Amino acid sequence: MRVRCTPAMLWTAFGFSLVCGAVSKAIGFAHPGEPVTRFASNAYGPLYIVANAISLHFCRRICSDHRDRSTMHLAWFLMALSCAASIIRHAFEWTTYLLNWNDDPLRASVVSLRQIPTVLAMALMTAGLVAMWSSFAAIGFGMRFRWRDALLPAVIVGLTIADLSYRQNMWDVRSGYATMRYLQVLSPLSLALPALLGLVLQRIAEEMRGGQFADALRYLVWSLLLRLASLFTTFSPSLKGVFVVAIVGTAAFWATPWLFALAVLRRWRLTESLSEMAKLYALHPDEQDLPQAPRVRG
Amino acid sequence: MAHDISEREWLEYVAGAASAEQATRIQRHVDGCPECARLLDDLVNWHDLLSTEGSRLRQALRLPEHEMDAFIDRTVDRIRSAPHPELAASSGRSPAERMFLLRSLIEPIFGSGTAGAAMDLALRRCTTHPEGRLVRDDWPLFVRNLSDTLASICGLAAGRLVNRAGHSLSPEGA
Amino acid sequence: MPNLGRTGSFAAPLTSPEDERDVVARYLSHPSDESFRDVFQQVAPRVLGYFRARGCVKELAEDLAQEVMLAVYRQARSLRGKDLFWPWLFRIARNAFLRQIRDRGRRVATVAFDGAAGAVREAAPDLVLRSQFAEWMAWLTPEEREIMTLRYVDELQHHEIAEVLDMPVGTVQWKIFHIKRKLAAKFGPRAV
Repeated sequence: MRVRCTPAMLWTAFGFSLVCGAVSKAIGFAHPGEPVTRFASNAYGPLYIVANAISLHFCRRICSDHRDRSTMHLAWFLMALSCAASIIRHAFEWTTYLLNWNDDPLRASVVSLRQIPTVLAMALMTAGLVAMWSSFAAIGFGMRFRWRDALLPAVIVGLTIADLSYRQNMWDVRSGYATMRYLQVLSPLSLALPALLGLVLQRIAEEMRGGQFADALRYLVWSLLLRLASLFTTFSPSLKGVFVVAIVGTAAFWATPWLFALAVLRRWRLTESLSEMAKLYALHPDEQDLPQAPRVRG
Repeated sequence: MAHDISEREWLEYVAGAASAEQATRIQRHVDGCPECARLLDDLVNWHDLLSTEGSRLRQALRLPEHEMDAFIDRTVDRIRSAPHPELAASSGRSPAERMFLLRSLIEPIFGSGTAGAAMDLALRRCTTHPEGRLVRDDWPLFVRNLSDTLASICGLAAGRLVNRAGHSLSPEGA
Repeated sequence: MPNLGRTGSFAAPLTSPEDERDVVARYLSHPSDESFRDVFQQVAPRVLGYFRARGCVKELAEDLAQEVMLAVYRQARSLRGKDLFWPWLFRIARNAFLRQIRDRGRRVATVAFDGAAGAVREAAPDLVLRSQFAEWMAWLTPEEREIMTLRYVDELQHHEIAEVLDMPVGTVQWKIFHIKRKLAAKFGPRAV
């Protein structure tokens, strides 16, 4: 039985992940060091896998709606690959958790190999966003910035520098593999770049001046920014000890992949609406008062 | 599908449109299967009932002859008074009006900024008018440029929609 | 201007599907005022019946039917193939019906097209409401009702219904099969 993915479903998953993330952090505060806390802090893995699988599916469909070898086709293809890399990363992490390798000193270095798909996912996302920007630049979008547009990038750069200074708190900084340690240390950069490009997309969405297409872009932007902000709260020693900040940060961290999935679904549903409208025009070319594209709800 | 007879085969058999081989197979099965015999009974009865009642409703809704005559008279008058299609097309919308209509279609979807930018680009690439205005003969090229531009950033479905909507607005008709 | 004067009173339409197809084919291949008159005689009662069977009052049905006939006069020549004519025609009729619901912003004496199954929102013409057919249809969903009305009142074939409703012909057949079973389960095999 085919189940149609709707924005309502993804919003439900988003809400569910928010709640689960908050609860998991609350458990961590209430029962530090206990097995239930370990489980709670790792349980986001399956949610990330499902969210990324949905995103991968729709990225591929959007990709197929663009001409082969076009820049936008490449952009969505790279984003699909990024989702695939994320799935591999979280599947690997979840498996190592279930096998209890995290606590095994002999295997902790093997666990750190997750940095490869992690950084790969971010690199592919960055490349995809660059390709998307390049495509919009062809019609002059994303090329003009205002002074106030410098504010958020400054915040992101600041967060990134702060994250770099907290590298001792990062998970794989003590890996036996030097490459994995370097990749871990550089991971804030790999998060910051997509976030910065997200700001470019935000500018492009503003230049679009309304429309459903811009709405889909804004969801994409928010997923990238929220992810960076939520990880900052995880690494920052001054923030991760503050109950409310930690709860909110962890909840946001759990929920961000669903925001990306929502962005991609909204974008895909726009394509579906456009296809329907095009079909109507083909059948009834004289009926120029056809209804507008149904607004993507959610 | 139940008992290896599809819904389509059942319906064709009931309507008498099944092939001889199909009819023989179904009849042979029905003879030996009480469940399918009941099903066939239901289908046949309801086909007849619906056909009868549908026909009855159709006849009841038919206008009396004199009213139908009057209706046809009124319709003929309306067709006579409606603008002739060729006349309507030639005295119809200007390129600017067509651009406006096209823009009103794409703006809610892609935003006024995208619509404006894409249309400007498409216009720049096609018009031969010294003042950069669109003339009638440029319309097909304008539509193609616009659909290509939107397809490059918003996907082929967007391009198809703009292409078809643009052609429906063209002076030559759909 | 078209010369569409009638020749004598309106005769009852030809009942044979082959005659109908011939008349349509003649109009499509050699459009003229006379062939349009012949098509008109075949088409108009069915189009009127389409709207009335869906609960439109007489005046509204005539208004909508005129819109459809105007479209036939203007656009039928661009149709490729006589076999497409009836699905194309009923599709125009359906769109006209849906458009008037949308544009006029009211449920005008119609059986609810997309509302709650089995509920008639406003007063409908007695002929439709009091019919046995309508009583059976009230137990179906709006989509099922539309399929059965197209099949048994408008007399479209399965593939024509599929064209009008933009669904695969297999789906239409499957739905008709199950609707009949549903009716048999509700009303018994002989609607007693």
